[in-house]
Amino acid sequence: MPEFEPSSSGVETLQRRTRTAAKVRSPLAKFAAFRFNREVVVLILLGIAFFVGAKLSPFFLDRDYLLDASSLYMETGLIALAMTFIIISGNIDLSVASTLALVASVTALMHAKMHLPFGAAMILGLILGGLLGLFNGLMIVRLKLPSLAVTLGTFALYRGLAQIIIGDHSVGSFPDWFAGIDYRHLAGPIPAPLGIFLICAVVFGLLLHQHILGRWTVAIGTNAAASRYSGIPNGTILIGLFTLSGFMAGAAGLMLESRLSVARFDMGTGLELDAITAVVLGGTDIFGGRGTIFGTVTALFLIGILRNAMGLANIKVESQLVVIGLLLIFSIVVPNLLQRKK
Amino acid sequence: MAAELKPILQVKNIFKSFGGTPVLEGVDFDLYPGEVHVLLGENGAGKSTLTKIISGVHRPDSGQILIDGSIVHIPSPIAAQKLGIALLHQEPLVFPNLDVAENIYMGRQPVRGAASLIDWKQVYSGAAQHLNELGQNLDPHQSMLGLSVANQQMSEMARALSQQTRILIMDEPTASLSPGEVADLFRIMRQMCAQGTAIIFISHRLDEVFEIGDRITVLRDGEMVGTVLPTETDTENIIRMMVGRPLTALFSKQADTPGEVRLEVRNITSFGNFEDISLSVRSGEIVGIAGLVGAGRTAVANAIFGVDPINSGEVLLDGKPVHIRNPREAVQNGLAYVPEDRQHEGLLLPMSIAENITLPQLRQYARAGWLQKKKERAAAEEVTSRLQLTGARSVHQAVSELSGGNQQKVSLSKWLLTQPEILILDEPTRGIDVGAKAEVYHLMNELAAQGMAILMISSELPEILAMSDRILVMREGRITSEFDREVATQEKVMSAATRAVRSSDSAPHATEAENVLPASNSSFGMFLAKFREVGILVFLGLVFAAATIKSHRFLEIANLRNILLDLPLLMITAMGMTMVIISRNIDVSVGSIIGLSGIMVGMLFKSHPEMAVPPALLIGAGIGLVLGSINGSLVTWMRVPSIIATLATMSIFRGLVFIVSGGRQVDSNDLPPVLIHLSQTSPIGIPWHVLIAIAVAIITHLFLRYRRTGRAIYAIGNNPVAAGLRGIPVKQVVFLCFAVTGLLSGVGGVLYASRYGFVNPGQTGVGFELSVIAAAVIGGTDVFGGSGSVLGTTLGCLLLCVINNALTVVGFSAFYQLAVYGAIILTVLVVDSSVRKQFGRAVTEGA
Repeated sequence: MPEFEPSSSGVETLQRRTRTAAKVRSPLAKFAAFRFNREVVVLILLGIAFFVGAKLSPFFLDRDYLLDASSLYMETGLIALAMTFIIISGNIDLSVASTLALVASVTALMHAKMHLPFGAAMILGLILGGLLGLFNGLMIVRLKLPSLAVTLGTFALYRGLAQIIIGDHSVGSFPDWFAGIDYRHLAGPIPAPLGIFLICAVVFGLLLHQHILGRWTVAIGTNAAASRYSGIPNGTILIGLFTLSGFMAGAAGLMLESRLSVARFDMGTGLELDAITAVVLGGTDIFGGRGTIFGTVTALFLIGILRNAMGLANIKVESQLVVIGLLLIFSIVVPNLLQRKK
Repeated sequence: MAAELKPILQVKNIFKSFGGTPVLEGVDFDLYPGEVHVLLGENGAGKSTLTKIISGVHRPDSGQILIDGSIVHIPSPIAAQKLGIALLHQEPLVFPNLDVAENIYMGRQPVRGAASLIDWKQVYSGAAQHLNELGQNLDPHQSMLGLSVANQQMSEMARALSQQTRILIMDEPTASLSPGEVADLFRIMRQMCAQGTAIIFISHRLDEVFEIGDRITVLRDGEMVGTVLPTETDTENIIRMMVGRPLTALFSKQADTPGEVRLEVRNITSFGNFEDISLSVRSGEIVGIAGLVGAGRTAVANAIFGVDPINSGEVLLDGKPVHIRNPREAVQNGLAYVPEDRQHEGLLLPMSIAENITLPQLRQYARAGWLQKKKERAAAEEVTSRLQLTGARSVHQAVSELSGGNQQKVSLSKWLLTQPEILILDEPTRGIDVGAKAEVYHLMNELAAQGMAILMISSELPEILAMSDRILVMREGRITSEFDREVATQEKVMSAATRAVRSSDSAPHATEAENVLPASNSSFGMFLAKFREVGILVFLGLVFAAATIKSHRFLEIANLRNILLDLPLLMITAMGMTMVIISRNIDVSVGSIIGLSGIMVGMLFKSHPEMAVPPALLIGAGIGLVLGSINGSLVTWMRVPSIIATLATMSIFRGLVFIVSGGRQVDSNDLPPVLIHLSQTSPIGIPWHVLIAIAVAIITHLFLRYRRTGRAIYAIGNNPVAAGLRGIPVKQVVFLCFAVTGLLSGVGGVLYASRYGFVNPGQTGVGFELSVIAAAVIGGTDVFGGSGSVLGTTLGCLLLCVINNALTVVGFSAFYQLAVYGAIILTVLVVDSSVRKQFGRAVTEGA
């Protein structure tokens, strides 16, 4: 799915206007020359969401409020970063939210029941997340199975295991240093979850666009057979990507656990949908081969701010599902239809 | 030959352009009954576009097509079929999991009776008859999966026969055939012509053109150059017409004195592919491998390059044994391999020239993994200028925008950058025009002169003879002969490749390819189906035994009745899911549809307590149909992948459940007793639920087995492109699958209210999609699409319900259910995968 361009007439008038306005290459001219890809569309939508949010509530545009509210969707963000790689490689990982719940449940129980120091439980939890992802990757690569089927299976298995070990209980009692990550701040007003996410986003962005790993991921998603014939270690890379996805889901599990100060088997239900929505809305081709971290990050904030605004407008969480679902569909349907016209 | 006859087809002044680029500019073409009219031209000359217009794939911008003298419009492949026009593609478009007979008749199966049910007897006898007419002894019951390309093409020819084809268009049918198979094909073509069929024949092999053609029309740059008779022209003249200039001395290998042995292969074997292969290539030498398609040549190249494993034997580089396990290690060892299939294996079409060229040695353009894009660009520019990549604007241009010849140059040049010592070329000039061929040969000469060792696989004998220093011939997975260039002749090479000297055109060559391949009698789908049902029953028995030992309550009538009552809801929905998965899709929104239909019908009962059950079921079905149609529209006309579309509608529908109900549950006192009793009673003692489920299963089975539309679902799951070209309305059929699944889930919503006596917005149908998908997959529905059965899915449902019930009865908490479902899905996937692997080993060489 290549990025779509605006109707030629729009660009032409814009260009004509800029040409007459300034002989020198103005920022506007640069903007007109810039391809109207998905990232830009999402950026514009983000602006609209801000505008609507501000109309809904006078508090909406408050800097601290916006920053603090971001903590609500940073777990989704961590997962979406790895999901961007997974989807670019032509795969999908439906098990991320279940991995999150299992890691959170296991770490909480290790601390509460086995009296392990929580620091150790955390490290083991991150390792567990990686291992759960590794299992997905091995099944997909070694047995040549579609990632959709495998991760649908582990989607059930991982949350089911969480359910078995933790039952219907809410396990809490975390050390003070761990609980309430969203009340801590990095670098002034930036809440810790946002800070962690932004650092990760920069690293993932560099990996995708400037590193050999990113190029390989794009190549595999474009044509796996040709990549293999070109000497790319497809299997190793895919196993690595799924391990990374599991690891990030585990990290998101710890973040959510800290934020809620409790672990339950049904934590983060449906979170995979938000993550996939952010990735696809951000312009990553659902069939693989194309995507950017910038798009994912922009789309994530769009979804977060939309949810935030809907909350302010007293729209229930269940009804918000409708909006997120529609957003996901439109993000694919609109470019599809535009492309067909061309 | 038939000057006094009237032309069957006339094409007048056709213009066609794609996105502003003119492809055909005023082309005229005519075709007489009983002639083979050859269409020649370089790549991009417009041959394929012209044939696609005649066969209804494309529509012309202007111009006329006349059949039997009257103007016709051909808006679709199916319209072309009705006019007696059939197009045979270069790669046979087949449905691998279906058998030969069904491949021949797909979309046009003979039907009988008022219900238009497929007459299977006639399908098989008709197929057998047409195969006989072609002199083929293929079994109509054999699955397409195990057949060689040549045999698949024969099945396609039988299809053309069965359609009463008057105009047969063959687009490079010989590209992947061996000489023997080509002779066989020509014999059949002459036979069809004798019966009055007119054939349009496209080929890049000039010798064939002279052998089979009655007339030759040459296209260049979208315009007609002229039509000539083969008897009045020669190769040089034809080439001049094609390229617009005379082309002398097309190619030949320059004599060099070869150096040291670079690559040596000793007695390598790969079970089912090739046996005991030994060969060596010296520095500066070009060694050609000739042989039939399917003789194992590509498999040898793949094995040397580490794409496929070797079972025994060893590979030596510069005299040292190496163990190459994958292409990456091959590259590290100085090997390079240009595979046969440029578009699927050689290149990454949407990516840029630079990205393609640097891919094998990307690490050289990176420091500690970080890419140095300037260095990359400079290297790509150097290579492209050396290769004279005409038509490329910059190295950032996508490879897909280049012509076939230029693409092949990129495919070659990406390996030149790795400075390999050994280069393996598989069909290096396949499907590229004469001019580009000459450049490729020139490059090969240059590389050999620089000391590279080159191993070339080719099916074009003139190429093998002219370019090789030594020629190896493979037959049935073994090397049968070796010739030095001085002594090799076409006849010698061909006789080594085909076991016997070609005696006459009527020799039964087609059987040779069959001997090469272990013929398999069943597809993976059929294989699964056979063992699947037994497997499930055995497993069911085990669960029954275990549960009975653990708890005596399990076998009590009341409990068995419970199992029976759990079954219908799952079964009805799973029937729809089976169809969706067969069509290569998935629907994860079924649980939410059950919820929405259940809550809406429940609320209707609350406000209209007097409502009867049948209208309630109808309303539920209607709601489901609407929701399913939304899914179907998204997946088909809006082109959203089904997993994403239904993941989105899963939340949208669930959100609607909450909005509609205001979050409130519909209780049993809101529901009329007749509805509740539906799950308990019926006139004949079996609960209504079970009766409905049985009816749905029977209807689904009849539909999938005996209706053309039902078979179309399998066709789409096997090969959507081929299905479309056979005139199957792919989008409508996929839409139907989703709509029906929605409808059945809608009925399921009402049954849920009836069975459990309540509908809860946050509970009803939540996670149910997992059970439904699990049931279908356990029942043998292939997750890759194209196979599945009602019986299998029914058994899958039964197994799930029994396990579920056993867990509760034995005393495990309900919390085990989710994990058990996950484990079952994964187990089934693992089992299927190992079966597929075992099965796949026998047929890999088939493709």
